Amino acid sequence: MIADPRGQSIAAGEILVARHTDPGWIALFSSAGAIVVERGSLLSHSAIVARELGIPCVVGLSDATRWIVDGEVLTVDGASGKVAKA
Amino acid sequence: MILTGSQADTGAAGGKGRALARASAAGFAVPPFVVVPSGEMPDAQALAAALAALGPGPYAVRSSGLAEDGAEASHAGQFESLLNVPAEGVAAAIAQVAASGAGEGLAAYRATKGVAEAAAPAVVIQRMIPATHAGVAFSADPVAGRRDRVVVSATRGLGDRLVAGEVDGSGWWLARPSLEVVETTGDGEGLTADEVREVADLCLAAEAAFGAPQDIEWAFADGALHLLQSRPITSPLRPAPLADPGFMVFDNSNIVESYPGIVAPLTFSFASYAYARVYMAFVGLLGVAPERIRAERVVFENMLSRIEGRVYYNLGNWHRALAMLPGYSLNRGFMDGMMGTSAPLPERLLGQIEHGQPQRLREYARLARSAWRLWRASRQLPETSARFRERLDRALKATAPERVATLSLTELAAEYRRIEADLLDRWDAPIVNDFLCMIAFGAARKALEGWAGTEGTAALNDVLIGQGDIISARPAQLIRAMGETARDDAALLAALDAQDRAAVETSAIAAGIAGYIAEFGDRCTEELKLESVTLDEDPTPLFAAIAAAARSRHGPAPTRGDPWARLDGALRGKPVKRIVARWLVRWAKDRVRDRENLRYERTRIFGRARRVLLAMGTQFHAMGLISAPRDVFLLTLPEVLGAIEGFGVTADLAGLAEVRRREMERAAALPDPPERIITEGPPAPPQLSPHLRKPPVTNAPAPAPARPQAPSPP
Repeated sequence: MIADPRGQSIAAGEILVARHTDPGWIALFSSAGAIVVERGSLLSHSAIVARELGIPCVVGLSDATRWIVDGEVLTVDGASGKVAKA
Repeated sequence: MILTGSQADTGAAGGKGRALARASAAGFAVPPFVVVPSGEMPDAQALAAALAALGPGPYAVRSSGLAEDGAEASHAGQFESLLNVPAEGVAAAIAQVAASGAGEGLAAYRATKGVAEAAAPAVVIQRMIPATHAGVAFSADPVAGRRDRVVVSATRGLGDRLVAGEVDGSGWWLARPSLEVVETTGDGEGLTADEVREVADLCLAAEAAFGAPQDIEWAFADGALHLLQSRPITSPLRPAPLADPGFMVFDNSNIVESYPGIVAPLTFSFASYAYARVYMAFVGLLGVAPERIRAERVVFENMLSRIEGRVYYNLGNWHRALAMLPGYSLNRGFMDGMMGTSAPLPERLLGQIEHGQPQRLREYARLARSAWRLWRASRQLPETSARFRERLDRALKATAPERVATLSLTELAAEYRRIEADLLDRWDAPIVNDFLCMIAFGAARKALEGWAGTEGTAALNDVLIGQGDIISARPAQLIRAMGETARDDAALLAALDAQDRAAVETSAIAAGIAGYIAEFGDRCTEELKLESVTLDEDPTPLFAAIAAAARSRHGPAPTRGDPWARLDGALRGKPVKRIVARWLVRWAKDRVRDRENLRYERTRIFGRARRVLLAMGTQFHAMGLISAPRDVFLLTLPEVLGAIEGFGVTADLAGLAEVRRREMERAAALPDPPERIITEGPPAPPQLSPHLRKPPVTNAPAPAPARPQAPSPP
């Protein structure tokens, strides 16, 4: 769960959960196992880049950062937009 | 005779006696009292009966001047007041207080105020209550004259020493009407926030009952709050602000992605300017007459608002701009969708927005004309884009990035004006493409969903995935490639982890790093904010990303079958729909690609603007105008350019920067305000405060407790 990407990194397989992202987050995208973002739409940068990189990504999931607790195990389905707690 | 209860609502009871009678009649918890009218002395029997009715002593015996406590001259404190008088001492106390009307101080006071009075005061006898806390309160700030504040002063025990100014006690300034504490002095005297609010509420109730701002004395005794007295505030107050029926709606749900968090004034003014120019050009492109656009200029110049340091859409103005387009009256819901806002526009605001009367035929004719212009713009998009890129390249190449730092202020301003005129003022390709992208993607999605359900939308996503020519994905690919190199190079990994710039820049990925920074150095976090630190200034985020990529066990991106075949499969047996779908999807795919690519160009333009403005900051700093080069971000664009081009208004740039810095620090300490904010009147603090959750203000011992007023003894 990341609020500001500066100085942050994520380990292999970790899922990036954020309120909003912008192209500056690309550094984190490249090592994320999946991406969940509260704001945005299918045309958001995060969604486009994730599609390009083949990373499962769900955008526009309101309150994701409140619902998800840092360190939890999640299943992210980029096709259906479903995020489930394991 | 002795006046009790409502009998005291007479001139003979003096100002204070009369006020007590009225407060008591209005239902306030006033400690029991009686009044001896001016010039009278009750006989012992009547006095004893009156005291018995008040309850056991001790008593307070106070003067109540006949002209005392008027709104013009409060006289407060000029007459004598005796506290803790036992029952047997009351008669003597009455005589002493009644005689105090002849005091010298009083004569002098009247002379200054121009009040003439010779009569002896009436005398109020009141039961003393065992106060745990007491003090004064004002329903307006008598010192600042502000009517949007309640001031509470308190001390432990009886309030007389506070009232006499012998102790400072503690003070609270509360905002009206929220009664949120905005400032405090002293240690709080052990009062709870609820108790302070209860006092403030009592003060407001007194104002409501007596019809003017009140100065009250209060006490807590046995857990209950008592009103000891209430009189009008006599110091001059500012006029009450007029009610403002203006209705404003702010929403940040769609812009927070571009401008998250606190945004510097320079970025905000730069973005405001860009939005104005871009949307004026956009509605012009769709056929809105130039004279109409000029007349509505203020709408375009106020598309963005800055609330507590955060950027919001001024939603009313967005709708006013969109209402100039044909079709607004036919399909407003679509506009809400286009804005991507969190909730529809309130009806009350819609009522304020003028739009073409839905004369259907005419509206459809206008709509057709706009559609035709859009179609033409869409056909011309490749050339428009090519020309836009040409202008961009020309503007960026005119001055090499490293030369910017060597330019004088005059040259820098000229450089900025060139970027403004060539690019910001002619933002045609990105805006046309963005609009078409939205239409194309929406149409493709809707068509495929309708014709082939979820398999259709999945096929659409598949086509849009892995286009290969989207520039936004390049940074990730480059990072992964450098990560591959670093994976087996322990020394390089260590250098990346240690953020050892010198070591990394002489390593096997040195060329890769340099190339990345040259191409994507401006794609930093929060890249649209001018104040963001770019990768050429600080490449450590890139180092961290490469190290993380080196350690990540990412396989190659999953291979998928031919997405076009999937699309065809989803529409098997529907040849016409397949042709339409293929055309729509290709269109959408191109628009999505162009949108991302044009956004990259935007980042480059913003990057250049940032470099130029920062160079101005460096010069300002060198000249002693600001205290650090980056303080230039705390100024607005007109302030920066005005200081160079001569139209600036404030010469003290460092002072401006300091004011802004303090505001931003305060705003940064607030939790994020809500997505939607609605105000009556301008988004100034009183209208905004109900929307903002503030960190609680706690009483801290203050070095110089500023007393609200020197409230005088009753």
